[in-house]
Amino acid sequence: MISGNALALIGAAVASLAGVGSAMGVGIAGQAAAGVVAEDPKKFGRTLILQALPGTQGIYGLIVTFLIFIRIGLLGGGGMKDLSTTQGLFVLASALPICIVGIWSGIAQGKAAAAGIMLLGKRADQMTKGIVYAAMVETYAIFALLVSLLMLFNLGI
Amino acid sequence: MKRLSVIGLDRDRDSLLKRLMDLGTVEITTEKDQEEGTAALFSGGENQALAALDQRIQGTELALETLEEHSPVRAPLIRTRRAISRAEFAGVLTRGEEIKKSSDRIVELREELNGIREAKNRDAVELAQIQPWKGYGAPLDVRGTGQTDLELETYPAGTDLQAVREKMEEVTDLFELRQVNSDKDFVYAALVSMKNDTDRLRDCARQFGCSPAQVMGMSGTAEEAEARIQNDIADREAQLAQVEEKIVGRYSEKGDIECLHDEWVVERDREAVKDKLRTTKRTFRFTGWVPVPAEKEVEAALEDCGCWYALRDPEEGEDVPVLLQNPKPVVPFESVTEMYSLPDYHGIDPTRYFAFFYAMFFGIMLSDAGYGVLITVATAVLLRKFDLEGTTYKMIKMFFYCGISTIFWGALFGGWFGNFVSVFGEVALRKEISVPPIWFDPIQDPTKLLIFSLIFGVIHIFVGMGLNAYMLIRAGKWKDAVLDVFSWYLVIGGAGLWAFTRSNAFLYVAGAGLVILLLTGGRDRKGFGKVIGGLGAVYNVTGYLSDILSYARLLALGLATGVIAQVVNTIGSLAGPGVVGTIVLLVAFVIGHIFNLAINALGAFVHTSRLQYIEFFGKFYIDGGEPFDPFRRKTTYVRLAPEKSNGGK
Repeated sequence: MISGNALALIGAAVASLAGVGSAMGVGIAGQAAAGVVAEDPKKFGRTLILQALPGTQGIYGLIVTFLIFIRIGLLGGGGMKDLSTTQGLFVLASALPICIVGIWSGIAQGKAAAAGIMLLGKRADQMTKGIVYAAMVETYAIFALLVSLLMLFNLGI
Repeated sequence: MKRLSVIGLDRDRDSLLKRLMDLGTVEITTEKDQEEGTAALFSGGENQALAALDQRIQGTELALETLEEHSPVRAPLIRTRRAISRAEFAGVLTRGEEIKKSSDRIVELREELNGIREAKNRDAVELAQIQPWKGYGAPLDVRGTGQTDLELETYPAGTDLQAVREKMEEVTDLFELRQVNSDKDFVYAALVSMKNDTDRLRDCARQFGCSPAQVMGMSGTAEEAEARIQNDIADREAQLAQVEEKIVGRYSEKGDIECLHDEWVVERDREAVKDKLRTTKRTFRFTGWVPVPAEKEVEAALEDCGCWYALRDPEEGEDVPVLLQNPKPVVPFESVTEMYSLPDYHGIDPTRYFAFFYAMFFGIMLSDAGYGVLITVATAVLLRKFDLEGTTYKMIKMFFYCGISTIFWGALFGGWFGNFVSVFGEVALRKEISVPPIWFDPIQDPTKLLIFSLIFGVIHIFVGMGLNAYMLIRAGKWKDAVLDVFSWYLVIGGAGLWAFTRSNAFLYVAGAGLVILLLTGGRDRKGFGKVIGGLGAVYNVTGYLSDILSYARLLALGLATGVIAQVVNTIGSLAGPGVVGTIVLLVAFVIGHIFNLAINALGAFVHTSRLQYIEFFGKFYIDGGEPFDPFRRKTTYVRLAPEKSNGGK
C-alpha cells in the first residue's frame, strides 16, 4: 500500500499544477499583447498589467503546495510527520480543487485578458473595464483555493 | 451646476473670453438649437487663423520632440508641468519671434539629421551588396572591351552554373561564365560574351533566374569601393554627431519653446471656442455650465465685461456635465470612480462612501507591513519630489493611503516581508526572533480571516444597499426602500447572526425578511406575475450569496502575499546559517520581495477595484455622467498661477 506521506507529497505536487493554467493564460494574453504593442509600443506597461492577471492561479497552486509542506512538516527541519494512508488521501483530495479549477480558469482568464488587451489597443481609456472582465474569471479560482484551504486546515493533521 | 446664458457686445468678446479662460470654470456648449435661419448666425471664417495656429503648434511640437530625443539629461520619471509666474511667462513671450526662429531651426536640424541618416542607410545597403564581390578583382564598372561585354550577375542560391554553361553552349562556345562567390541567398557570377552573342546568352541566363547585380557601375574594385563607402559612412557619422551636437546645444531653449507652444495652444483654444458662439453684427451670445461654487466669480467677470446674462438650475432631460466634489482626504479616490465612469448628474458620487473600504481592502489583500512601508515611502517621495496634478496625483496619493492601510493590516497579521525577521535571525544571528502578530496569523488560521472577510463584505454591501435606499427615499419611493432593501437587511443580517449564535430568533428575522420579499416582490405586476415576481425576488438570494462570497478574495490575496513572502525567505535560507547564507538570503530578499510586491500590489489594486465596481457599485450606482470640461488654459508644459480646485455640482 502506498504510504500516506507519499500521497500527501503527490497532493502537494498536484496543487502546483495549477501553474499550468497560469502559464497558458499568461501565454495567450502575451500573444495578444505583442500584437497591440506592435501598433503602439507605448502601451507595453499597460499590456503587462493585463498579461499578469492570469498569473494568479499558479500563485494559488503554490500557496496550497506550500501550506501542505508546512502541514506535513516537510519544511521546518522537524522531519515529516507520519501520515496514515487515509490522511495522505485527505491531503491529496484537498489539492484537487485548486489544481483542476486553476488550470481551466487560468486558460479562460488568459482569453479574457487577451480580449482586454485588444480593448486596450483600440480604446486605451477603457482599459479598467478590460481588467474587471478578466478579474471576473478569477473569482472561481479564488473559490477553489478557498475549498482547498478549508479542506487542508480542517483535516486534523 | 447652473445653466448660463450670456449676451454681450462684440467689442467685449475677446476680453470676456480671456477672462473666462483665466477663471477656467465655465464650460461653453454648442447649442443644438435647430431654428430655421439661425444657422447663418453661427460665426465662421476664423478657421484660417485656426489652421495657421495649428501648423505653428505642430512646428513647436516637432522641435520639442527633437530636443527630447537628444536630451542631455535623463527624462524624469513623471512628467509634470513647470510652475511659472505670469510675469515670467509674459517675459518669455516678448521674445516670441526669436523663439519661433529657434524652434524652426531645430526642425530644420531634425530634417538635416534625417537626410544624413537616410544617406547613411543607403551606404550601408551598398556596403552589404559589395561584400560578395570581394575577390572578384576587376573594377566593378568595367562593362566589357571593344569586342566583348561583361555582366556581373546574381543567380538564385543553389543554381548549378555548369547547367547554365551547357545551356549557353547551345548558343555559342565563345563565352566565359565564372563564379565569383555564393552565399545562402545567391550565386554571384561574371559573364563575358562577344558583343554579337550578348543578348542571346543573357536570355539564356535569365531563364535560370539570373538578374544583373546591383553593384555594377560602382567605380573601382570591390575592395576600393568598400573602403570608399566605409569612409563615406564615417563622414556621415561625423556629420550626424555634429548636427546632434547642434541640437543638444539648443536644449537650453526648450523651456522657451514650451512656453511658446502653450501660449499658441491657448490662443488656438480661444479661437476655436468662437465657433461655439453665435454672433450678429454687433453682439454675440453663448450658453454654458457653471459649477455652483464658481458662480460668484463668473458673475463678477460678466458684470465687468458689461454682458447680459442669466443663470438657472438645470432642467429635466438636460445633459448636465459632472464635476466631483469631495472632502480633501477622499479626493484621491475619485480616480477609482473616474476609471469606472462618472456618476450620472442625478445619481450619487460614491467616492466618499467607498474610500475607507478601498484603503482597508487593499491593506488586507496586500497584508504585509514591510510592503506597506515601501509603498508609503515610495509614494511619499513621489508626492514630495514632483509637482503632480490631476489623475496622476490622485492615484499616487491614493496608493499612499493604501500603503498606510497595508502597514496597519500587515502589523495586525504579523507580516513584515513575510517571516523575514525570524528567518534573518536564524541565518545571520543564529538566534530565534519573531515578530508576533498583533491580531492573528492568517497562515495559521485562514478560516478566521475568511469569516472576517465575509463580515467586512456584508458591511460593505450593506452600505451600498443603504445608498440605494437613500436614493429611493430621496425620489419619494420610501416603500420600495423598505420592501426591496430593508427586507434584505433582515434576511442577510438574520442569517449571518444565526450562523454565529445558532439562536432561532435570528432565523425568524431572516424568515420574516424572506416572507416580505416573497409577498411583495411582484407588487408591480398583475395576476400570476405577482407569484413569479415574489419568487424572483427571493431567488436573488443567490446573487447576494455570490456577492458576499466574493469577499473571500480578501483572504486569498492576503494569503498569497504572505505565503510567497515565506517561500522567498525559505529559498533564501537554504544556504544555511553563516555569512554566505546571509548574503544569499539578502539577494533572495531583494529579488523575491520586489517580485512579490509587484505582483501582489497589482492583484490588490485590481481586486479592490473589482469589489467596488461589481459588488458595491452594483447595488446602487448610476453612471454615465459627462465630465465637466471647462474653457480653460490647457497648457502642456507650463502652469500659470496655481489652479484652484473649485468644483461642485
